[in-house]
Amino acid sequence: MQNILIVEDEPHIIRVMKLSLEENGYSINVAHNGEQALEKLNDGLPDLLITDINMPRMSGDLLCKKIEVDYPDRQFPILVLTSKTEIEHREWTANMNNTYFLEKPVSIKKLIRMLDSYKNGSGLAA
Amino acid sequence: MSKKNLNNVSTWVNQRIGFIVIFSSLLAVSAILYLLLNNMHATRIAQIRTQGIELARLISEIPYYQLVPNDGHRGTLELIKYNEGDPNFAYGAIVDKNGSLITSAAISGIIIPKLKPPADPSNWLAEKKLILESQNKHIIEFHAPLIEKGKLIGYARLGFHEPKFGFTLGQIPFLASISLPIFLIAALFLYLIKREIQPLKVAGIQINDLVNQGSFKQVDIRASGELSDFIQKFNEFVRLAQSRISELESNKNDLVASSKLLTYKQSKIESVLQALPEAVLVFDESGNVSFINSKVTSLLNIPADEILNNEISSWSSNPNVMKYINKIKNNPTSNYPAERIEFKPENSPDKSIAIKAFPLFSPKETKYVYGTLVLFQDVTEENLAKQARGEFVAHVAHELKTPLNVLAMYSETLQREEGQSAEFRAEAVNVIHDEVERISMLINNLLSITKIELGSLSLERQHVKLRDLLVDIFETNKRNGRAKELQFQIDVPKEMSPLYIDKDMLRIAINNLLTNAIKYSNKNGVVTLSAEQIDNSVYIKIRDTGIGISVEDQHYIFDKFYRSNDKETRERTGHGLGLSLANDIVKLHHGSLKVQSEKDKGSEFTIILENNSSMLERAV
Repeated sequence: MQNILIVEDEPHIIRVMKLSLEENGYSINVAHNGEQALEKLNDGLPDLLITDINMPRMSGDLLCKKIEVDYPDRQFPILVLTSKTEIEHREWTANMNNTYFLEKPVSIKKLIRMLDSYKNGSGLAA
Repeated sequence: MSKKNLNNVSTWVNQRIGFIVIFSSLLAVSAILYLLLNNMHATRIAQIRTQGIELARLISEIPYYQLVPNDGHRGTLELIKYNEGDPNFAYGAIVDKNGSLITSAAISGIIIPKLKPPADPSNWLAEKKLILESQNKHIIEFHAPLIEKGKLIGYARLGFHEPKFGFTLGQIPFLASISLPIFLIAALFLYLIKREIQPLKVAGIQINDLVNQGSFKQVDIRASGELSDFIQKFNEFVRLAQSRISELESNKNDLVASSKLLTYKQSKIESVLQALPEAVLVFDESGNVSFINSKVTSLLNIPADEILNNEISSWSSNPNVMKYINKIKNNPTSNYPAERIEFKPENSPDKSIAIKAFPLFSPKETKYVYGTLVLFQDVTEENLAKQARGEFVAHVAHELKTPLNVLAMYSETLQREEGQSAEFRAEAVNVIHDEVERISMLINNLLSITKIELGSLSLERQHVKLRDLLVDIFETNKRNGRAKELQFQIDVPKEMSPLYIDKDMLRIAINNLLTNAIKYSNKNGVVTLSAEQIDNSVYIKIRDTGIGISVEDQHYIFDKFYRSNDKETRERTGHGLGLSLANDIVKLHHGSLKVQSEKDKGSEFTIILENNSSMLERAV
């Protein structure tokens, strides 16, 4: 597992995540909103997708629903990383297959630990 | 007979009492005279009968030869005729046993009728009534047998005129002497009656006058005896009636007064209920709607009549409302539902209406419940505000968390010593600084806007050199906006008279405008801050060449929490507070904030402040 698609609108967060994950041997692709992410998926599927919820043009939850429809047999997990902590967001992610919820602010260390664990076949849940 | 007829008869009698007395006395005199004459007549007949029968018997005992006249010897009958002196004597006759006249004596004008003698010896001595038709005379005849030597030889017959009913001239003085006292007594009686009736008449007239006048007074008449008693009792009765009437009138006045008071009290309560800002409906004890104020009809958009005269099912089909209302109106003494319910009326589903019921306990006897007061509240605004508040809090939390996330990630990355270039460290420090600024600004904005809304913010004015303030704000923002590769321009005259303003507040306002100008600019755009003074007005302009604001949006941009649905606006973070706060601050300075904008060309915001002594005075 090498390729990760990060869907995030906040440039500083993209910058730090990209930097830290690349340092740990991951190949990072970035989309700034849901629409861009769908375009990137058209070009090729990642090994894992990390998305924010609150984004312009297309929000993260809408992106996930589109992926459910467009890629019903997807193998890559989705990690929803958001500062939106309302219960309904946890619920819809829990109801989706192979989808995980992680609340911001998230520790980069913890994130890398999770990704490494997944890469080694131990699953995403930290 | 009706009362009116009785009265008429009584009046007729009163008016003709004199005639009645005279007529009555005449009747009495006539009756007395009739009885007297009748008695005299009967007595006379009895006298004649006694006399006749006795005389006939006497004659029958006289020897026959003495009865029959012969040779110059007048018969006994002649003697009787002349000596009887009885005015009723008619005739006397001696007849043989066959009835043939032997001798007779009669007064002139009388022809002795022929009679067949009675065959039966028991009828030989008898009397008989005869009518002499030819002479129109009524005769009572007495006959007796003449017996000589034991043999019937004939009869003696005596006839008397039957006395007539009536009186003779000679009797007039007697009869008059009897009639006169009766007339005198009648006259006396009439006088007495008149004398006794007079006060009654006066009383009657007085009472009649009082009745006609409609007044109710005592009667003033001097009377004696029983009439005096009667007048006294009548006046006593009038006195009682007067006191009873005045008592009733005073009761009536009390009633009218208390009824007016009740009406007044009711009107007062109704006016209070009408003046309430809420819609109020009142159920009485029996569960009928007894009152609604005008707000009910306007809130529910249902005519008052429909609510007042009908069951709830006719004006609301909402099952929750029906259940709630039926529960409270049918059991006014049972436990009331503590919670209120909310519903959306069928005819205006955009509205939210809350219902809450309150039992109307009697203030004196709390066990007694007069009914139920139901309050309808339009909670549409309240709900929208609640929703907006919730959304705002969520939004603010997100806005706060976003820079916190950046701070967390950068600081965590900095903690790792390995592999961090000096360049990254410098970048991290700058980002952390900027994000802290961002959080600080958001919090300041929130606090300021809250203070302004609560009215607890008072400006701390001081004389400020506008140029220094503007340059300071400009430089800070220029630093923040460099990532966008914008062109920053500032055009502020060096010499400007100091402004009497709250520096920190105005800094927030200008800062918000400048932050927006940067945020909504595109790459390579131009952001300009300028100021000028014309007469006593100072114009501070913040101009950009960014995405611009549509005409529709320009109406709402100063509303709190408003964010355009425009795609390009939504791409940029924001909390919808900046412009609202800037506008509030400028208004607090008695200035104005104007916007000029064209879509895709850019926007220009102008703060206009007055700089004269009047501003100082107002501030003081």
